[in-house]
Amino acid sequence: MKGPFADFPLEYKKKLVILWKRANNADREHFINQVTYALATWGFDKVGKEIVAIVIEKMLEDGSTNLSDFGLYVKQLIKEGLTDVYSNRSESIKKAAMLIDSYRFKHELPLSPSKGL
Amino acid sequence: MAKEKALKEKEEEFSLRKTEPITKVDVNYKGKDFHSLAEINDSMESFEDVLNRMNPKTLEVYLENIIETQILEPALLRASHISKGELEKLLNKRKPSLQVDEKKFQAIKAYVKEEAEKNLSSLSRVRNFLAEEVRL
Repeated sequence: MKGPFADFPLEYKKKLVILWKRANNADREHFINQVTYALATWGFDKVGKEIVAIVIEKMLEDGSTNLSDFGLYVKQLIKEGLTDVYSNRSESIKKAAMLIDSYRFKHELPLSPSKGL
Repeated sequence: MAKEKALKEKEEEFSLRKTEPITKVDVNYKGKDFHSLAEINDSMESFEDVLNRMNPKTLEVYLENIIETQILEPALLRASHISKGELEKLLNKRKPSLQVDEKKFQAIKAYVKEEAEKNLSSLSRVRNFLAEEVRL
């Protein structure tokens, strides 16, 4: 069975793992926690994981160098029509974005993506 | 020139000797053999160098393994432990009318039971995480 990252470009897989290896523990935790809220809200089935992969792909494509930027890209993808593509999860994607937003606010995470090393 | 020399030295340090079977990577690093992904993962000094020398098929399997087990799995495990009440409590802080779907809640419960049985050691971490977040 194909995993959620099966169609992920190899270069992005590599980039993701390298960013993960370089990340400090705090950023790793922030990333995991935001993905947790996303999965818990829009579902952790095959489609839910696929949406996570799409968000991560967008992050990497945009040149973010910090995985804790995850939530910023959920919001950006909503603006770009993610909820139209996954229309049956539209509400839960929006709920996830709100939850992640609260999380980012609570932990004073940046309002724009990190793009330097 | 110095950069080229350093790169050549690095190349000699890491020599990928074979790439099959693809679920195992056999890497020789500074004269030491590594026979498992976990070993490589724990011992590597220059992670990117090794990645760059891997056979693409091996690399793909290795990367997917890390993404699935190290990056995605902790979030999946935590997500599966967030109860309907906890999720609603979090959501209601922003918009009181939002509700968690009952079908999803049942699916979460089933997943929690399954995960709890096979991964007891992670439960306390999950609980702490939730306790902290629900306090918001």
